[in-house]
Order: sequence, then C-alpha cells, then structure tokens
Amino acid sequence: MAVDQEENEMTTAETVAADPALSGARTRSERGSRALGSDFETVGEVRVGDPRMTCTDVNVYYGDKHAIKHVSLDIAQNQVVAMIGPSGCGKSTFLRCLNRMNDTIDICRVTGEIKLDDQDIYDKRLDVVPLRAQVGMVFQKPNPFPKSIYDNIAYGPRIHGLASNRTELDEIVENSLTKAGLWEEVKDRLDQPGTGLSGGQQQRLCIARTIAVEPEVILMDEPCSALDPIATAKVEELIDELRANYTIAIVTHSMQQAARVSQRTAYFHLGNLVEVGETTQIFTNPRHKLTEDYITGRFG
Amino acid sequence: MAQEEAGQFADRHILSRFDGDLGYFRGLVLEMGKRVQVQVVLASEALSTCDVAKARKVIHNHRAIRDLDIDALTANARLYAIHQPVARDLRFVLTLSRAVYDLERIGDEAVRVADIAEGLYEYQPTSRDCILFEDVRRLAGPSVQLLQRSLESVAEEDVNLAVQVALDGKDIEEMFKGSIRRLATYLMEDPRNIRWVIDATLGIKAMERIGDHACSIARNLIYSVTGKDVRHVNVASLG
Repeated sequence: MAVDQEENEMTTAETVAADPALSGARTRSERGSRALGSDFETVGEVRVGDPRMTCTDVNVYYGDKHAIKHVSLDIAQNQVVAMIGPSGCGKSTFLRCLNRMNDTIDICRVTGEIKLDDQDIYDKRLDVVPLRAQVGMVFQKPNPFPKSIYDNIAYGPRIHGLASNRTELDEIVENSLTKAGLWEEVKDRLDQPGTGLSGGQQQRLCIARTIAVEPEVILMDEPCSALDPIATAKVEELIDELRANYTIAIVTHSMQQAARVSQRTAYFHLGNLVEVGETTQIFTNPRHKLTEDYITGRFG
Repeated sequence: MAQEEAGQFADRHILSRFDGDLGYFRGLVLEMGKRVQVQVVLASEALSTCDVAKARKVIHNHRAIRDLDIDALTANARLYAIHQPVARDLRFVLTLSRAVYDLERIGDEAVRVADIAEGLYEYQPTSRDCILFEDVRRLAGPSVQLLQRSLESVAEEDVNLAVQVALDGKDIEEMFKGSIRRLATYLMEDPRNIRWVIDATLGIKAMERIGDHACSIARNLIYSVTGKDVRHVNVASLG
C-alpha cells in the first residue's frame, strides 16, 4: 500500500510539474485561450484501437461553402460516439457523409476517405443501396411509412431479400421489435398503422426498421429532439442496449444526452472537429477552450 | 477560423441565473470561511487566556455556521439539479462543496477548543498554568492566515496562491511538532502538569488540523482550475 502510494505520488508529481497551469499564472478567464487557424488540429485522439469506420481528411463543400474542414475521426466498434456543437457546425453534415446521404444533394461535394471496415464507401463502383442498409439512419422526426407496423419493419428485409418465406419475415419483425423494446407494446396490433403510435413508439419503430436490415452501424440524427422526457429515456436506454451489437454515431443538441449515452464525444465548431475524447473527460476536463465554452454555456 | 471568432466567447454564462446561483453558493462558502476564522481566533484566545466568556461566545456562534452549512447544501443541490454543471463549472462546484465540508470541520475544531477552555473554569488554573496554553494561540495565527489565503485562492480562483498555501502547510506541521516537544518538558518538570498538558495538546492538535483543512481547500482549488487531482500528491512537487 505504502509502495503504491509512493509510486502514485511520483507519477502524479511528474504530471503536475509538467503542467503549465500549476507553474504559470492562469486564472479562470485566461485559461486555455487559443485561436483556431487554418492549420487547425483536433485536440484528442481521433484514432481508436478497433475502428468500425475510419474517416481521414474529410471535406464537404456545399457549392462554395466549405462545410466540413479536414476532419479525421474513427468510429469505434460497439461504442456510441456523440457529435455535439452549435447549429451549423457541421455535425449533421458529417454524420450524413457516413452513409452517403449527402449524395442526394446536388451541390454537395465530399473529398477525403471514409472506410467502413476496409471498404472505401465513396468508391465509384460501390452500390449505395446495400451501404445504407449496412449503415442505417434514424432521423430527428419519427418517419414511419404509412403502412402497418408489420410492414414498416418487413419493408427493408423484403427489398434486400433477407427473408425467403413468411415465417422468416415474421421472425425478423419480432426480433427487430424486441430489440427496439417495442414488441410487448405492439405485438397484438401489428396490422395497425405505424403512424397511429405515440411519438416515442414511432421513433422506436424507426429504430426497429433500421435494425431489421442487419446494419453494422446506426447513425442517429437528433433522435430524441421530438420526444418527451420519458420517451427520450426509453430511446436512450435502447441506444445503450444496442451498443452491444452495433456501432452507433449520434448527433444531439442535448449535451446531457451526449454525456449519458456515449462513450466518446466529438465537438464540432464551424466545420472543424475541435476536440474528441472519452465522454467523461470531455465533460469534466475538456482540453480546448472552445469545447469548454460550449458545454458550459458560455458562447458570448 | 478567424481569431475574432474565437474571441467572441465570454466568461459569463448565457443563463444569468447560473452565474447568480453559482455566485450565491460561492458567497455562502466565503461567508462561512470568514465566520470560522473569527471562531478559531476567539477559541484560541479563550483557551490561551482561560477566558470562559469567550469560550461560550464561540459555542454560541457555532449555530450561525451550522445554518450556513445547511444553506450551502441547499444551494449546492440546486446547482446540480437545475443547472447540471460540467467541465470547469462542475469542478468549481465540487471544490466549493468540499470547502464547505472543510469549513464545517474547522468550525467543529474551534468549538472543541472552546469546550476545553470552558471546562477549565471548574479547575481555576493559575496564570502560570495558562502559560502552557500559549502555544495554542501561537499556532492559531498561522493556521488562520493559511485559511484566509486558501479562501482567497478560492475567491480569486488563483492557482498560484493555492499552490503556495499547500506548500506553507508544512510550516504548521513543524510548529506543531515543536510545540509537542515544548509541552513534553512541562511533563518532565512536574507530573501535576499532566491535565493542562493534555488540554494544551488537544488545543494545538485542533490548530494543526485547521491548517490541514486550509491546505485541503487549496488543493481542491488546484483541481478546480487545472483539472489535476493533487490531493494525494507530495507537497514538494507542487512548487
């Protein structure tokens, strides 16, 4: 015990000695002030040991507007990465790059490299339809098809040919709804329209629909912003459970939600990835002043 | 990104109520700090001059400190519940909340010393006996000063001052050891001094503990400003 204590003291002492904040005069208002320049570098480790997706030097242009600037970031397997930042910072744009949703916008141009496992998803020969099944997406507003609950889930597996008969399809529907925590609530009314469900149930239906096509990665763009706190809590609980089988990237305006559901947090500002790190570190001791000013509510 | 854009960030919170609530909590802590300083001075004087009236005043004043302690918990809970502070705000709130604990302990130490002083009344010590208690006042001076500087470091969020406070805590320890050696000589001189020496030892131990609490407040402030937990770091490495 005594030895441990001594070792601990030595290690921490070295850290403290090397920390300018302890040897130099820094007060609250002066701390960590740093301007962002064109040679901007992300603070924190953008790479992880077991990446599912690897993004390198990604740039996005909407016409002349440079919306995402040289962003490199790994999305780790079986982890939730949260992307936070003020409106217009590029977090949703970046998320949409991950399954080529930006292809639908004519003036949008993406450069750099985004790989899912070892496959470059912007490879011209790649078919985007299976890609969007592999990298599914859940949107801000629940958008069930104007079909029955059953058909909402069955639609994807049918067009991707994932079931060879009705029994298999039934299984997929039940499994997906169970994983989305909705089965018990809807099992007796599968033939009723999905649009008749409550907001929170509709969003979980959309998550079930995404799961049904067996994705590897699930992208969520503010999935709870249209939901009440209880429905939000259920979706957050679901996200935590889904992490065991899927890799998840979530964009959220709620910093508390980012803190609750994610293991890594990335902070975007004006198209730059300012800082990325373990969520606990970002919310207790962010290293960049911009991150700190944003999460503590000090944009002037 | 242009420099002026980075310069647009203000130190004020967008929500002025947050600054108000945090300011109120900080005010409570500093007020509590001021009052316990007075308590320590009074208690040390009560014991070193065998002044029972002063001792009773300390015991009476403790109620106000307890009230501040209660208010501080409410203010602290409110900050967590309403504002969910993060980053430097979270660290500062944690630091204030730990300071409240230290100040409450300091208040208790002052009462402990006052209790000893009040108990002396029964035994009517002579002025010669009271000489034994001089060390309590001698240690109270630097301890209170250390406490004052630690509170100043909190008020100004001044990490350099906090580091200096943590370093200066060593001096109190040395003074305490010196006082113990001195009191031991009275024991050797005359075993009838035992009861006074025990009381004096309890008194100086209380002062030494007060110095420790002051250092603890300062070390927590270092964490608040830098994000580095230095509570268990060797004091020499802080300089």
